[in-house]
Amino acid sequence: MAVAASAATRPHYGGTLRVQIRTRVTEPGADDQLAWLLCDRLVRLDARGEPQPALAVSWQQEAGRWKFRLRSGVKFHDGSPLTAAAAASALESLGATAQGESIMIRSDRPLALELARPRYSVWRRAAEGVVVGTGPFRLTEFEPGQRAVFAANDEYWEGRPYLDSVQVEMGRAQALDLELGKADVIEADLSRPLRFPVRSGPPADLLAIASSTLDPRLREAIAHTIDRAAIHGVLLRKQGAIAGGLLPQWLTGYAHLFPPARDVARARQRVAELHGPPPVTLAYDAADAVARAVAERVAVNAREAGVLVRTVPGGGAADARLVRARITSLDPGLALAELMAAAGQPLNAAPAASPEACYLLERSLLQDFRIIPLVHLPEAVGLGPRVRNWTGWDLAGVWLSTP
Amino acid sequence: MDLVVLLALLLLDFTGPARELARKIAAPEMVLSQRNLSSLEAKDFAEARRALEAELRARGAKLVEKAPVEARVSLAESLREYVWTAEIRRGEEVETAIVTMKVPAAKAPAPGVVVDRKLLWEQEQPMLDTAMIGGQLAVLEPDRIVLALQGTSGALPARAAGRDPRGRLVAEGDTLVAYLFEGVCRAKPGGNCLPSAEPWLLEGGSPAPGRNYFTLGNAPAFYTSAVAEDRGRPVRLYAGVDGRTRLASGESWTGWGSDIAGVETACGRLALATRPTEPEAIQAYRIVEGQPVAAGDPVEFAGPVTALWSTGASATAVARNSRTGRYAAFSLTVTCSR
Amino acid sequence: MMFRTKLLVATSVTVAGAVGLVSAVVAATARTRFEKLDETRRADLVRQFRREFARRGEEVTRRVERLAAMDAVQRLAGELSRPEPDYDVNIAQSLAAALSLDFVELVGRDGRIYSSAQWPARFGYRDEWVQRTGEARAPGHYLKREELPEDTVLAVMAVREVRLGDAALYAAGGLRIDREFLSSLTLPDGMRVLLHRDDDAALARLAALAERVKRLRREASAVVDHEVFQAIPLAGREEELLGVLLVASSRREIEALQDLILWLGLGVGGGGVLFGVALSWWITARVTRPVRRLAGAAGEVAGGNWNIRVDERSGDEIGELARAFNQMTRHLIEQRERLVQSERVAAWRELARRLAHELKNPLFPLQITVENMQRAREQYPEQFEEVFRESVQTLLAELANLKAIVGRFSDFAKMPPPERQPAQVNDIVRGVMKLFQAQFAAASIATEVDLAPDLPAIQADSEQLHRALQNLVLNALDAMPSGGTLRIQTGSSNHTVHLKVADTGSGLTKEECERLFTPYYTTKQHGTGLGLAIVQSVVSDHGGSIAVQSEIGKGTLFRIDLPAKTEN
Repeated sequence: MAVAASAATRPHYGGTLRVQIRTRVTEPGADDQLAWLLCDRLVRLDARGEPQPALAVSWQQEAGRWKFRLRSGVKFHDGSPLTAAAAASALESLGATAQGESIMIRSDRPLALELARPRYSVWRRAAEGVVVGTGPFRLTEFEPGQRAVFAANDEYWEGRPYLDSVQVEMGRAQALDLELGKADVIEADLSRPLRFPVRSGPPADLLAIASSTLDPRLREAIAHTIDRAAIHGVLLRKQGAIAGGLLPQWLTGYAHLFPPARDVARARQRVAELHGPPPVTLAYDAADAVARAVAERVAVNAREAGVLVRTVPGGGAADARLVRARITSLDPGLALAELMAAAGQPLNAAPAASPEACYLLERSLLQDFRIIPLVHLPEAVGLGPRVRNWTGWDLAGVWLSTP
Repeated sequence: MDLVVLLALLLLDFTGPARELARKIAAPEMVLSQRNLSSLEAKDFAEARRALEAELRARGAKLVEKAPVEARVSLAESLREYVWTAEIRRGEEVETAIVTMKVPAAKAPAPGVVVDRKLLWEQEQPMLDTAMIGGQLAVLEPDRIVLALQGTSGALPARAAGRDPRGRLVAEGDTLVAYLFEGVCRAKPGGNCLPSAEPWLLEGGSPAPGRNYFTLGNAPAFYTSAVAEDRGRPVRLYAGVDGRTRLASGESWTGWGSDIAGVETACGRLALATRPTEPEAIQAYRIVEGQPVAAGDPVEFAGPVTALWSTGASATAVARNSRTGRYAAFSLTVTCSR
Repeated sequence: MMFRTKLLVATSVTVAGAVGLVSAVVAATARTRFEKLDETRRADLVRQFRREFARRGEEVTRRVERLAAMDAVQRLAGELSRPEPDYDVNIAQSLAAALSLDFVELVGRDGRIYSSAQWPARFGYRDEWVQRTGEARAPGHYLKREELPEDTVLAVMAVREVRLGDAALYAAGGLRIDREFLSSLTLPDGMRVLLHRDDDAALARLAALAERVKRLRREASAVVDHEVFQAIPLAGREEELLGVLLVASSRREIEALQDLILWLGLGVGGGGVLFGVALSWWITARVTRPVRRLAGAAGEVAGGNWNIRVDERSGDEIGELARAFNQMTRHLIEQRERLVQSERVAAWRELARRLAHELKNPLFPLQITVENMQRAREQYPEQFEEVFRESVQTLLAELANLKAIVGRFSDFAKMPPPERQPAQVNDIVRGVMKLFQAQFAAASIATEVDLAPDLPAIQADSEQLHRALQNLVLNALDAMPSGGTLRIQTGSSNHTVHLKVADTGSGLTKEECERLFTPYYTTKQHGTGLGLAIVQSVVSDHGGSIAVQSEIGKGTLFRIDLPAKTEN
């Protein structure tokens, strides 16, 4: 990060980055993109997923206790210094305690990985109730769920970001705005081609069909008809990866043990056992164009086995639901628990510790087709022509080229 | 470079994981199939395959073409680990075994040398510039000057600041002169760099402190400047922060990157310029009647070019390999045959 | 049936028949004309549909030609020839929007859909129609059944091949043929056009018609709910039946006209009948009043009133008839008076004869006795005393006899009205039978008495009834001089008590039976002829009736019916 460089043009200071995101953030500092701008975490992950120092300069683990030593001289945006006590109170949910210049947390899990997640951002509430962090940008305007404006943090411990300010518009992500030059960064809709580069991270969103109420044979029949190759190859334009399992291959390395099989003959057999299957309603997030396209494709596929699937937008009552669950943890056990909770089928066991245990748990979850994984989607952004050195949502290294 | 690759391979030791996997799947007679789902190259995978077969044999397993026990082994890769999975089929029953192993820090070799460019040095740390002194390669890093092969280093008066630190290293006799945006310093090889009051005149402008560009009076700020030749007359070019490349005479154009350098060739002085589009490349240009004309094919790099400085007859380029994250310094020579 | 009724019926039938016939003819003509007109209008509408369909088809063809020539489609054709094409699966939607087409499909040579505007999720599946149409290089526009996620619609489609070097794909585009399309047709009043689809519940009642058209593959028509539906089969490029066009024209107008004719007919018919009734009333009043008067007078005459006269002023046939009638009654009265006089004379003669006969019998012994006494006094004075005594006895006896005869005549003449008291007919029968017991034995007559045990009492004068029954029994004794059987039976039914007296005597002729109850009539050599007349008199005084039934040689049966005693 120390040397940020990009497409053969030197970073250019200044300018305002206009960002459009689909999420409507009501509280900055929560688990979302804005947290990356506003806050730091104790550690950050490098490209290989290895934890690297951030607010913590070093850490050690002994006997179920983690000790993180804090970087000195870091200040919150309101000028107050980052102390161990302040950081510990930000990580209250993990049971963190301050000890001198260090923070102590009890955990047997690979905690350094977890602490890189945005949900463990370090921030505090200033006197006026404003959320202040230590991140590369400070919040200057905020309309909950509408827009936010950030300004460069001149005092940032890692050097002032190149951008002067960042304007975030929430609840919309229009490719047209990007194409017309009204926005620089938008959350991309993977099902549509953008005329501008799309940067995507690892496929960390699982698109799956979740259903607990449907007849198991019907669930199985639907699962066997789904043509994931077409969903991935055509609808998602090969972005992301076909999902046979719940967790992606890049995270576990064993997802190939769940090969997604399309078996229409078997699906028809299951349907035949039902003697005239009832129509099935499949709900999807109306704001998500990808979800809609995928849901409609699932419906078309299901017709091959004689199952009438009707897609319905929104969150009303439905037999099955197309869910998009995000994996933020790099620990497979935690990630699986996180994913199932997001799909509305929370696990009531402790997260799996070993890869084998995780694999067995995942296999048992897949067995009864209550959750049918379809594809893993990357978080993708469309970038305008001015945007340089996009590495992720912290935006500290991003700069704008001159027109 | 070969040394680096060798080191990387030495770190990949499949023996331990192979033993563990063999323990889980070994049977007196078995069919074994193996496939590579990781980013490992064929020869590394062959090694892993051999290691597993050896461990299985050591456990008394006979690998045959047809047997009731069938093991399908895949070597895959997660974010931080190699994951060895085995599906063991015993009749109707299928068991699964999983063994993991850490991915070594460097898992792939650096790109090779191409025509017209010569790799000088490669390292993990960022490099701002290099210089040859007394037959040795000196490397300017953001906070020190290192003699590459000896490994001895001398500190700079201050760390190059800003998010995009830049600097030049020039050998003057037995002295190394480091031009940094924060100031100029002089050092003997291996010694600390002592501040010097001399100005940065190399680029024909003054560096802006805390930023990454130069200023020159009221003229537009620029990243680099270079001297080339237009019909036998030298011309100075400026790579402006606005993305335009300008001639002192007023002509300007876009489409060049921010780093440019002039190089002496048999065909006169040409300009090298980085390309602002991917993949990263450096292209040679002739300046004809105030307009650039591309000369020859571009030289591509495996990542962004972070520095391009002229050394007269050649140029030094530093590029960061996007895949490995390592920095490599190249000497670029332009041969011109009339 | 009375003359008036006949006349009335005849008038009504004639008027109603005439009006009905006229109405039927008018209605039939109107209907025929209307149907012919209707047929023309429907044919016009079908022509209009075909014209509009052709117009849209040409429009579709033009737009699909533009579609095929579009850069984006040409580029796509090139892209699709690559092994792993990268293209926007939603491109058809944007193209459809740009060209204002409802349907756009980009289909590979193998029939695989690359992009579909109408059903975006269906990429990768095959559309064989487009493939076949593309392969056939069929330049026109065709009707196609287009499947959509929720239903199936009809479309007018065209297909063009897009070539770019070796690469090729078929660009298909079309417009919907639906209600909106139909609404663009100009419909005459009372007509409508529908497209039949099997799943349309609103058109379920037309299913049978549509089914027939599908089966026969030619036009058909039917009347459904006051509408004539003409169903025209709509075929696709390969002559496959895709839908049914229904042109409906309302029959309400003709039905209203028919109703009007019907009501008019009914009104006129009804008025005619009423007029007929009034007319025939007047006519019959004129014609039948004298006849009725005549008939009434005849009835009076039949009822015994012979003094009736009818008005004979009319100079026509009725007047003549009346005069004849009056003459007839005059003749009848004269004849009756003559008959009464002659009957009276006859009755007197009969009475005189009876009286003479009755009185002659005792008078003759009287004369003999007196002559004996005279002779004895003259010839045998010694024996005179004895003779005198004997003669006196004889004289007294004969005188008593004479007195009895006179008494009987006098009794009949002054039979008192009955004094009614509750009486049992059975008791009376038993009393009479007891009285005659010795005579039956002497005359060797057997008796059979069958008395109903629960005979109701009657209001009667027992003594008179006793006498009447005595007369009947005496009559029977007389009828059976050489013995026989006398049957007496009582019974009751319907507040009537009846009494039957039957003998096995010589019987009576029919003529004798008719005169039997006439006073002083007798078939016997002795007897006053009053017996049965008294019986009849008693019975009728009691409000009853008497009947006789007889056959020569077998016997005679008298039956008396008397009203039973009522509560009050």
